[in-house]
Amino acid sequence: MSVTRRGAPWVKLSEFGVYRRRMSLTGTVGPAVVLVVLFFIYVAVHPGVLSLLQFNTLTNEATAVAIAAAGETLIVLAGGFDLSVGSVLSLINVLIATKIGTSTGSQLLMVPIALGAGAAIGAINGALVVLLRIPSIVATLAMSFFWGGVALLILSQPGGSVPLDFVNWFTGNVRGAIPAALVLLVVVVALWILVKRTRLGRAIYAVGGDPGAAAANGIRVGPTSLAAYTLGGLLYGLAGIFLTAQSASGDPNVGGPLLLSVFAAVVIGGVVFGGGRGDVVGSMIGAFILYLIADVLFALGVSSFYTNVLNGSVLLVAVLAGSLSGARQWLFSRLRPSLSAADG
Amino acid sequence: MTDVARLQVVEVSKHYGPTVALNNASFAVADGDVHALIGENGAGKSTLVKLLSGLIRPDAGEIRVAGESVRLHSPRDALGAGIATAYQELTVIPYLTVAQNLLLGREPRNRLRLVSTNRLVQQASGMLQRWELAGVSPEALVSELSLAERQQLELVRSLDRTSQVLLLDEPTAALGAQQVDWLFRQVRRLRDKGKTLVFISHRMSEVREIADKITVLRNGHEVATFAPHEASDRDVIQMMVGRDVKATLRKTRDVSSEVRLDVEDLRCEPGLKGLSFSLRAGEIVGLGALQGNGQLELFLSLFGARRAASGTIRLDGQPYKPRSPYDAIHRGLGISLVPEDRKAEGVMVDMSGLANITLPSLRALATAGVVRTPRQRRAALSAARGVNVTPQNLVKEVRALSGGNQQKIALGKWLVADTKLLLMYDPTRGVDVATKAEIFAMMQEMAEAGKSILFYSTDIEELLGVSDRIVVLYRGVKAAELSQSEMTRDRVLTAMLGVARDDSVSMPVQAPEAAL
Repeated sequence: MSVTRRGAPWVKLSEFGVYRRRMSLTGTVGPAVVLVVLFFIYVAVHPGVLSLLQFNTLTNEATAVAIAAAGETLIVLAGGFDLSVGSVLSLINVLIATKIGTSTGSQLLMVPIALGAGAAIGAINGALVVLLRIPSIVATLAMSFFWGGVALLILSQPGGSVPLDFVNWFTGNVRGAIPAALVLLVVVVALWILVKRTRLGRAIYAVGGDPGAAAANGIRVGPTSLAAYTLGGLLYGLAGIFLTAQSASGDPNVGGPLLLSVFAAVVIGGVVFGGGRGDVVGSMIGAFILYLIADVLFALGVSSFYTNVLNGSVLLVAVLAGSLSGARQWLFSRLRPSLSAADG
Repeated sequence: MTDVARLQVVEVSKHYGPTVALNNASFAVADGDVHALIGENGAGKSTLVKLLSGLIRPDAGEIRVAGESVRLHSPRDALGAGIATAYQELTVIPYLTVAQNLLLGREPRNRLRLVSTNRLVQQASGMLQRWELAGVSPEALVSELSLAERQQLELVRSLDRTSQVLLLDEPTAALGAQQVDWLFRQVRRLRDKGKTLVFISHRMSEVREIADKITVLRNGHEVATFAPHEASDRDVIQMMVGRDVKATLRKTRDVSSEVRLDVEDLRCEPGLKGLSFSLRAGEIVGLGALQGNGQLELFLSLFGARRAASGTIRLDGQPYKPRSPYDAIHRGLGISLVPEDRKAEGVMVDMSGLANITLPSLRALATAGVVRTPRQRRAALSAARGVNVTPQNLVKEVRALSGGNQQKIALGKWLVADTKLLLMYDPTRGVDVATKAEIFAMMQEMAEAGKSILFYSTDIEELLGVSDRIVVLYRGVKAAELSQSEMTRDRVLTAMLGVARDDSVSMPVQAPEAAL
């Protein structure tokens, strides 16, 4: 870094450049811009969304997927893959729906129980991958069936009931002004920013980027992956809580259809499968982009059949946009070690 | 030497399957020395570095730091024991910034135990300045840097981490002359602070410039340790080569004058820097090079696995620009590659020998796209006979076969495929002596049948044994071209080490008897 003295306004400008650069490194700038543009389009075609009631609905519909995608992103960043997210959401949902009581204490108790269950499930998934060295796709596919089965054992068909208080805490408005879901999302983002700034956060990126190189730098690769799965599970727990509040009932199959949405959100958010690149915030934005596209099309009166066509196209565009910037370097760095001659 | 060596390796052995990488190797590095380890490819240098940096564990023997026996089971242990390593295969992570890489695993934290981004950048910037690499921005993404800069980053990180010992595993391979000067300045500074360094290099001139002591390794065992002024380059090469020069059986053979392959000024990133040579029909050209001098790029670009940056290749007089191995095999008239790591690239270990041996020729063995099994079996059997693989071994999964048989299967493919030009990249690695002899006999036979062979081996003896001509690569260009009457082990190794080109030592390479 050159240590030249500059006038005060310049310092500020250059600092702004640094922050902008740091932001752009996370890959969230693109998705954020897309989200803002989409939102303006939506407001233009459907100004009613600016009312608290409709804004609340808009926030609520994407929040469960956004938080689950945040959890998935942690695992993907560390170089893993988790197909069990849908089943885990179902399991958390039926767990709460069957255990929740009407007293405030019982309802409050559900929060730590769901978070703990999510974290424990994540830790089990992670242990299969890290300790038993089962490829993450296979391990989490198996666990997807497993947790889905457990959910059916707890509640074999839709049922259970969730008290209105619980529903209102999460899907209502704080002080009658801000959707609670928005507050929840902000909390998740804030926690993520903290985690990202711990050594664990840095280690997750390093392990996902190149596990061998990370190990050579004295990073414990196994425990780092395990932590990523556990934290990811914790966020599934939170997503499950929200999902339950939103649906106000239990359904052992509620999570299944969300699996693909979660992965779509991760991809649209600029997270790269394989690990090491992307950001949790990006995936959360990705979830909102998915739902906003559907809303905009609906507001324009386009048949909902087109929604998935457009979602698929957005997915491809997102991957292409991401790959144009980094794919060549990524490929090169991946190819080199395997081709270099290891000699004794 | 001081009473207790800073770093001591005592009778360490390491096997990889049947391959002995280290055989009772011992050496000691005195406190505050720059100690060079040299030896031919496969002498055990890199294995030693991996042992000392905790990447692998020895089968037998002991490692001592300052007289204390240490167990290095992970890179973390090695760092804990005060041993830092700059690896040959880079361990910087491309999508992290320079600062994040430099301080990976020991990021500065504030009172809340959170990584402080500002201090991270500050410290990294301080490190870069301390090690005279201020031209690199700490905020830059590593993937934006050149290969040489990444190598320098790898070096800066390990230089800064060195508490007692620094291992430098061929640190200069990717560096230019100025950057090598830069590195040596830093190495001297570190030594002046009383640190101990182990320096591995293929380049004699560099070793002489920087090392206080030199240990020569050969076949996984130490041969001698001495100060640079105590031995001439010729002595050192003698030590590296050994005296077990075997007489080689060679049939003399007429090589036709027809040029099969003509390579002109071929360049391919990162290693190949403008190579010209030709290969005639029925000729075996040996390629001599120490690791990382462009030979891999040459093979890959000839085989279409990597695109050459510039230069021309002519095959039987026709311009040849392979875009993929498919081109090489089909349009490129039968160029084929025996990759050095058979398991990874040469054979499908879960398929039968039969399936493997006919894989590149399926099109020729098929009618309307359907493979004719009898025809396939016949072709496989005749090829198996050609490479001395029994029919029983042909039906087994390749995984179940010995290394030698696997290699023969990998070669047999190209007998079925009617190959004109065979590229052989270190085909004898990890192969037993008997199979080696068979492979060489096969090569001779193929050459007699008019096929051309480009043969790279890490073993100079093998090159001398089967080549009609030897081309030596050094830093991506031709360092020497030796006809059969000119080729001696000394001469090949001298050219491989770049001794004559570096002009730093007085060791003229002359070919008086050949200059007719």
